[in-house]
Amino acid sequence: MLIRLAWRNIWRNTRRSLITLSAISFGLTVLIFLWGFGDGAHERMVENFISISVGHLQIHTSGYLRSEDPSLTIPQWREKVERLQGFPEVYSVSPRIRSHALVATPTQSSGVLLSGVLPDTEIKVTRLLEFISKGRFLSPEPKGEVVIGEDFARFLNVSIGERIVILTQGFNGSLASGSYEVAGLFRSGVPEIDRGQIFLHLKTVQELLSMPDEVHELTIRLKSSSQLEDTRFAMSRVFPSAEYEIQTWIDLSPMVVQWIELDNIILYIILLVVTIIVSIGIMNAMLMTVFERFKEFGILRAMGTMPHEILLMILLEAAMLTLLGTIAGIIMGFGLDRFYGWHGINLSEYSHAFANFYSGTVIYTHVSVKHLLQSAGIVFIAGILSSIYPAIKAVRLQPVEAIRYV
Amino acid sequence: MSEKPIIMVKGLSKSYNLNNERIPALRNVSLEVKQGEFIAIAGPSGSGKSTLLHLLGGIDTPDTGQILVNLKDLTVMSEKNRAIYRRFDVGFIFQSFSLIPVLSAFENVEYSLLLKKLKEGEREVMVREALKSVGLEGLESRRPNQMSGGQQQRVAVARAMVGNPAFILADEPTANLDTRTGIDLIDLMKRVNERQGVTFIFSTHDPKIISRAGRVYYLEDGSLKDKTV
Ligand SMILES: Nc1ncnc2c1ncn2[C@@H]1O[C@H](COP(=O)(O)OP(=O)(O)O)[C@@H](O)[C@H]1O
Ligand SMILES: [Mg+2]
Repeated sequence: MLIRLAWRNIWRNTRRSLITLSAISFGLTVLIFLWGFGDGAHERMVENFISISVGHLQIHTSGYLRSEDPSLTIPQWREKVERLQGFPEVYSVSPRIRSHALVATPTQSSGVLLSGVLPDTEIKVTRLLEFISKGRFLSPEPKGEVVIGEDFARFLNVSIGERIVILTQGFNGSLASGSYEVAGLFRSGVPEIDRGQIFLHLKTVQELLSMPDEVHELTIRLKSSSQLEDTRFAMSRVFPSAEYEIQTWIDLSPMVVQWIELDNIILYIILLVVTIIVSIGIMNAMLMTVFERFKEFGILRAMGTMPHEILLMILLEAAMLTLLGTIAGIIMGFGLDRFYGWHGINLSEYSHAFANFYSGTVIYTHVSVKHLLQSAGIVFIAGILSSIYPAIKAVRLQPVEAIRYV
Repeated sequence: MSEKPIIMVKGLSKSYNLNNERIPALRNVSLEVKQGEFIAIAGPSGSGKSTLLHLLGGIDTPDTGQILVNLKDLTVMSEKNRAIYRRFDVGFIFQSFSLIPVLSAFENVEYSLLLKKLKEGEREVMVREALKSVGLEGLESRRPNQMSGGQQQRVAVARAMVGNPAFILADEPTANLDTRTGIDLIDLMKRVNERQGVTFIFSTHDPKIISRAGRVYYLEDGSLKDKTV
């Protein structure tokens, strides 16, 4: 009966309830859509970030990342790669050699990060192949080829088929150099990579550096981003922390996560604003209805209804009203999110500032379950909390006063 | 009809505070009501009728005096116990617009039984019976705004009598009805009183209504005048 009473009382003043409902649902819709926008962009950003070069996880010999000492290599890497492939979460593993080097042409020279990769596995871990804009990627077998950024090629004034000279320090400390043919050019959109990184075959680099068959880094791509920490933990049993460091992309680039968190703060502020608006709306509507029904509460009390039953009745009414609004908001917000998650929102026409290289110019909204439930939950709870004051008003009422002039 | 008294009131006084002035509403009122009586509290406006009924109904508390209902002393009851007392022992009928507007006639009457924690099956039977005895068969699903003032008051009578309270208090139940409808309502109450033995105490200042009472208490400025039988 209390539920029936509460439900009917909502529709007693249909217009007022509809206004309150639309305020709640509209606020929540906008909120969910904005989260979808943010989450979608961030998801894409992380995905791009991971697949451009970093991967999900990287394994190095302890101390390598700090000192960049080229002698801190991973021995027997083939066997280790095989063991890593055995993890069900692992999609692919790319062994890499890294070395600082100087690239020279007759007219220019520049410092770069030189990466020795196995073409077959590298293209499974990163999107390097996709980024090739001219020429082709490295051949599967070492052929003395190099792939460099398009911008960098322009700077060096070289084109496909021409040669560049690479100077670096060999494994034994002596000067090492070689000349390599530019097989392809790439454009990732990330300046540090496009201007500062070049790719050669793993074997080619090992020869250049006169080093044994060892690597510096194992970059791992997982099947899904969600198992990051669990996988790291599982791997730590195979790669004991005394000898190896296992890092997630978050450890390697905390900036990305911080950036996302900073972005999210804005959305949390919007959540706060929506919550306040919803609270004011509910409180106002409930206060009005309570004041209008003073006499009625007096009669209910006179008949022996307990104060807490009146309280419950009003809270129930507010809860139902908010729940309706919340559900409508979730449906509309999620619908909008899925619609633009499918069709995407093209921002390239509006502003180049949006054309962030990690998130792209087309945003596919994709609200995270966490943010969806969080927003809906907070709005719902705020709705109920803000009806406590009106409910107390009704409870404080003395039945004699209320029915005096009945 | 005269058996044991169900209500015994002794030396009841009540005054209100208005702008730091004490306004006496009841002065030293004593009375007795026996099971099955049909009693009118008569008196001009402001004489203290409502105050007296509110005290008997346990919605308000007196300054001094004693109210015994079936030997239970209302004046020493906690607020919670008074609510329970109102729930089970008292039926209320107010002047007008006292029904819950969002509930049907049936549900309005049923609410009273819900408070008494009766099961659904029992409620159904008792509500239908009560509505029948006030002549509202067939109007069970009407909302208050779909009924006339007289019909609404009859629903109020049904709501007050359902579940057998010790007595029914009616504060000027006919004040907002036209003369004919008012007299019909009192006659209906009288029938319920006679057939089912329900005790009624109602207030009024209408002589035609007073004449229907079994016994009348006259109030003037908060004091009882010599009672007339
Ligand atoms: N809440 C109140 N505050 C101040 N005075 C009141 C209050 N209620 C009733 N009174 C006064 O008490 C007296 C009796 O009132 P009431 O019991 O309502 O009389 P009746 O019902 O016979 O018209 C009147 O003088 C009225 O003005
Ligand atoms: Mg009165």
